[in-house]
Amino acid sequence: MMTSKTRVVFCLVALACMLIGASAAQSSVTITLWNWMKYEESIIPEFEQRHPGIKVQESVLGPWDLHDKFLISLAAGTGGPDVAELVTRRFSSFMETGALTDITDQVKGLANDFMPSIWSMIQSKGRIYGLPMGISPGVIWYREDLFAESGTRTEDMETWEDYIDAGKKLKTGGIYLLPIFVPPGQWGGNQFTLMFHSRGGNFYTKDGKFIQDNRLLVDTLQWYVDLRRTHGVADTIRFFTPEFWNTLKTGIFASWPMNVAEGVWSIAPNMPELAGKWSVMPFLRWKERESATAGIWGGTVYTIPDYSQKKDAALTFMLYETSTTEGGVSYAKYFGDFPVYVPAQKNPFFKEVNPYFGKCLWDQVLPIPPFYYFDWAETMQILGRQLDELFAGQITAEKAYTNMADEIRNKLGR
Amino acid sequence: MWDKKVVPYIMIAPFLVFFGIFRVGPIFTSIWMSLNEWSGITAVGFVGAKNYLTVINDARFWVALKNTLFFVVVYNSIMLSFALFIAVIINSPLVRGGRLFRTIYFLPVCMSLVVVAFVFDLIYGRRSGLLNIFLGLLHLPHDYRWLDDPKLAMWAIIGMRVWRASGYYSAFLFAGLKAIPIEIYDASEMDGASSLSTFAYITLPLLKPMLLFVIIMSSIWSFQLFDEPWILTKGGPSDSTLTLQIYLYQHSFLFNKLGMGAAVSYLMTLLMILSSILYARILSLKE
Repeated sequence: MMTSKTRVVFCLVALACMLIGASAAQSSVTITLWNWMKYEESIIPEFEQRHPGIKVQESVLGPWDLHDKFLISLAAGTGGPDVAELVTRRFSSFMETGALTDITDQVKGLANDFMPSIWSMIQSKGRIYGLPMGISPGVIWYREDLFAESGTRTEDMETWEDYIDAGKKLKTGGIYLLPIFVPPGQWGGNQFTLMFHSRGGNFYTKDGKFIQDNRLLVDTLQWYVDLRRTHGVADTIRFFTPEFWNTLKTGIFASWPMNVAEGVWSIAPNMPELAGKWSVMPFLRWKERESATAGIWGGTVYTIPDYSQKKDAALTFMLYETSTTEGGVSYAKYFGDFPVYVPAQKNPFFKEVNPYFGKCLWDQVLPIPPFYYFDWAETMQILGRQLDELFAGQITAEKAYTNMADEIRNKLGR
Repeated sequence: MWDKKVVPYIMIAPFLVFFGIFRVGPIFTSIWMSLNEWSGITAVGFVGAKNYLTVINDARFWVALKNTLFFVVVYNSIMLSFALFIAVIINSPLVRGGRLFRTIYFLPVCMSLVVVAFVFDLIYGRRSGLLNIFLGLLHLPHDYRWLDDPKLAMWAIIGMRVWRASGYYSAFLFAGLKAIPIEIYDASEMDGASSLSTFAYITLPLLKPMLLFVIIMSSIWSFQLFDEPWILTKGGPSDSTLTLQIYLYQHSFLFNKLGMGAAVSYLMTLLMILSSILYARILSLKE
């Protein structure tokens, strides 16, 4: 039987233990991260080691599922993560919700450390709402052996015209130069935009107005459809289907202009037997431009919703990922994408030769011209339909442009 | 006595509360939403019937409506014919192992839609798809772009859905056939009626209640067609597989126009109510 003195001591000890436990719990913050690429075994352990007071709980979702659910959480003001990974091209729509955390004061000093064309994509009316991670710049993946067999020296190719000429040589052997994704919409429109962007093109001005009398857009639409209709060097195929990988494996397509991450993510794992045959080169020069530039396939941005109660810890994680050399190198190492953070790009990792391709992938990344995304989901849906009709021979490139301009003006008011 | 009267209401009260909050409440909220311009996050602005007028004036809405009606009519005609055929065959006393066949035909609806879509993607492939290869073996034209050609894509979706749903609805029709008294068939046989006459003048009329139920249920679900075209074609090519549900989803969640999406949903509701009344009237007239 406990004496009263013993009971008092016991209670005091129990209270002390509770306070110590609570204190210990408070010293460690757990933030939730939503992304579509699993960081659990790579980036997160590295971050937690460097920041022992912050734990990261990751939820991996499909990319479009993530965007839908994040939007719903912003509408509800709860139920979402502390940090979300979004695609750059849809980020402007999320900024317009006004439900993201304004981090301008904390990060404005970093502007000079990021590629200027990408830094502009995370701002709205001069305020910053996210930090860019990767940019998915375009490169040309190609079968070196098939080009050589057709009599093309790829090192002599300088312009997209040279590329098409090489394609005509390949065609005599029954091989297509490149795939064109159908139906457009999400992927097909993106593929066109990749090429258009590399040409320095834009659909919108910096303040969101649809560019009128956009001859560059008309000319690029014509160039794009001519790949199949006039030159016969391209064929349409559904993107990321088993049939698509089969055509790459069996050499039906000899090259694939696509983002740099596809080498690590898709080509090498899907075609291990073709190591040494697949190679990579930078995007080529458009004839009217002085130098070659690349477009971007997508790119990713981290952001903090305004309802998050752990903004400081969330920002610490974001800064580690996007604004340190360690974060940039990890991202490239595990996910094959090119970091936007310029100091990270100077790390020796980005000079390493990839054993599958026999080249340094990062040396193929060219400067990126500015690009402005507005109402991107609807813009891609409008562009996609015009591309469908263009490829079906129902309209001309000029008509595709005017249809697009009319629809954007009427529906988006831009 | 007072307690006995009150207790049933107390028992169903929790259901009513939840039903009111999660079923009835959202209906009224969405009606209100359809009369407002709202992205889901920014401020709500009352616009009256503007969303409905915007939808009705949008050419894509009419494309989606046309595609949806085409799908509803063609798909239901083909699918119900198959379902009835399967049910009649399985119901035949000449067929052994009816239970096994019912299970086999029911399996497609139990399969994950993502898996089914993946398999049909392989079947519809242009170069290495099973369908084109099979046509090639029969020395028929076989360079069809089943999911890329605007003239073929909706037929490809219909094919996939018919495969998936026929077995499911055949189970209902089978139950309806089983409910027809066997004495009626005995009587018709004694009167010398042929199989075709028996089917046309006895089976079909007596199957009408179940047939009406199946047609209405299938029509309502086919008006809501979304999964198959979204997974395979995203509504393309050239909006040839754009359905009302895809149109609704795009406006609500991709274009951040929840008010317009809500307006589309009520237009769809009206359409489904009208078509259900139409079916019921047509089948009643034939009685």
